[in-house]
Amino acid sequence: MTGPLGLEARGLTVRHGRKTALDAVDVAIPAGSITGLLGRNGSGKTTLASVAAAFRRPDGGRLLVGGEDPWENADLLPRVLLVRECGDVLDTESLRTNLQFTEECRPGFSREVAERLMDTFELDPGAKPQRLSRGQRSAFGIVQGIASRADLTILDEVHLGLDAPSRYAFYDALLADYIAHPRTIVLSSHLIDEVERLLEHVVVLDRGRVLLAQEADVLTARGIAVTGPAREVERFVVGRTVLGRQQLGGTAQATVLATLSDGEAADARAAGLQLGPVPLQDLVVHLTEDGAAEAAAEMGRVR
Amino acid sequence: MSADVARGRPLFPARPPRRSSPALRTARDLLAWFVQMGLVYWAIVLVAVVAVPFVVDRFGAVEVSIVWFARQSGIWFPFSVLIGVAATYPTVHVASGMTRRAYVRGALLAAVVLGTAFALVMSLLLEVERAWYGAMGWGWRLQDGWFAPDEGFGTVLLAYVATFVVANLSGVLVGTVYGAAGGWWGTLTLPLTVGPVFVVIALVDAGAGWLPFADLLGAARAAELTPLAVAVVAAVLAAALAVAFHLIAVRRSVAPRRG
Repeated sequence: MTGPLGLEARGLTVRHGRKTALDAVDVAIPAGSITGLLGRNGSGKTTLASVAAAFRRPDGGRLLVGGEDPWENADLLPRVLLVRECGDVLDTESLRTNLQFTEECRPGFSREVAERLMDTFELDPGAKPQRLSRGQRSAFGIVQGIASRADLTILDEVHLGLDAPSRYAFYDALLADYIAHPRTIVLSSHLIDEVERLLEHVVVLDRGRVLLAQEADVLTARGIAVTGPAREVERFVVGRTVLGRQQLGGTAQATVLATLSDGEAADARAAGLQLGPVPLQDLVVHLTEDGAAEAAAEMGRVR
Repeated sequence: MSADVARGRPLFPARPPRRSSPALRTARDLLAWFVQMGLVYWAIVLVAVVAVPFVVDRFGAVEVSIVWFARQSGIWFPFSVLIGVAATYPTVHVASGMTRRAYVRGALLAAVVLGTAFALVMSLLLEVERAWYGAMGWGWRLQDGWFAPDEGFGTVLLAYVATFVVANLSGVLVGTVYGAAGGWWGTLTLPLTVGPVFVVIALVDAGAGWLPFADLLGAARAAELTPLAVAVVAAVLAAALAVAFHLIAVRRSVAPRRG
């Protein structure tokens, strides 16, 4: 059986020694979506992905992929792929051998996609991974990640070291192949402003807990960037949840959680304020700052 | 210019991908990778086995088998390679969507096939060497060991299979313990993980005069039953190593790794 695989965690707890990487996490990632798994370093993104791909077992709770426990699940695991930033490849074998190995293991593998992406990223099939630059290793992970067409594909910081044109080629290739072959894609990235356009769903982790899990459109619609005279901005934010403030001379900008009516928006503009959307990256930065938990709660956190 | 021409040769073979079971695929791949190194190993062994008698003959009398000395390299070379395989390959295996159980089965199959193949080649080499020494008028005997040259190919093969299979299983276990539990545990448990290899070597060589079977079985029957007794001891040790390998490998987490 094939088809996009959803992911559901209930009370998921993972410890690395004395450190709790995931603390009783409850979260669901819908099947057939591109979900951004966002958060600061050490927030638990890679650990969550590792449990989903059966790289490790949880210490408590459970995580189901397509309704099944992935651990040692011979039917499910060929359909689940985690590509880590380092790339888990045969270091002493050529890229050609690695791709042939991947093809034998992955039932949905596409030779055509692999060939096209190898050309796009100008990778030498005869080269060995240990001889590649960091960017080239990332590119090869992307080739494997997209060409495998796994029903649950998790890409964990796979674009580190890639130059901007290559990153955009990756985004385009991912989106095109996702449209042609719908599946569940989980994208973990610190370059939120670049991947924002791809995301349909967002999960924000912070210190091993789920801060937010929402549709991307809903999330960004909840934030407003207000720019204008400092006094007017201060007046505007009274009674509203402020995520962040910046001030330069007499001009201030505030990021607030609000959904304005037409009248409120007209009043704000009449007061000389400029209203704009808040980029997802800014929202995540503000929400993961110390003391922002209440704001996250207001946005509909799942904690 | 097509992409294939630019690459020099096609990225994929014309045939469709092989869809064998993950365990068989693992065994096949591990053996295929080993063949590359194994060919170099056997080339070196062959050069030594052919060259050394001529050197010895130039300065003295050729009396002992060089192939028999080479068994030590046949023990420790695959052992070392398998440590590396067991320490690093499981991550790629799991990341490729296969279970740890499939890895364990494939690795055990590969270790046994590899040990048996090495044993077969070594035994054949020993026979060829013996015939060659005879043709050259040189003396041929084994430096040590409980089987005499006249006891036949089967006994020699048994001694080699027992030694190499136990050594290979020990190699995958050592690499697994290091990979799963780290350097301290890997080192501290070496007496348990490598100990069986030394037991089998001691039984096969009997170089130190330690061979308990004469006491246990009686001197009269010892010569007859020693091969069987060695096979039983080696089988028990191999089974213990395989079980330990299985228990650790199927629970092993893939370690976090940064590029």
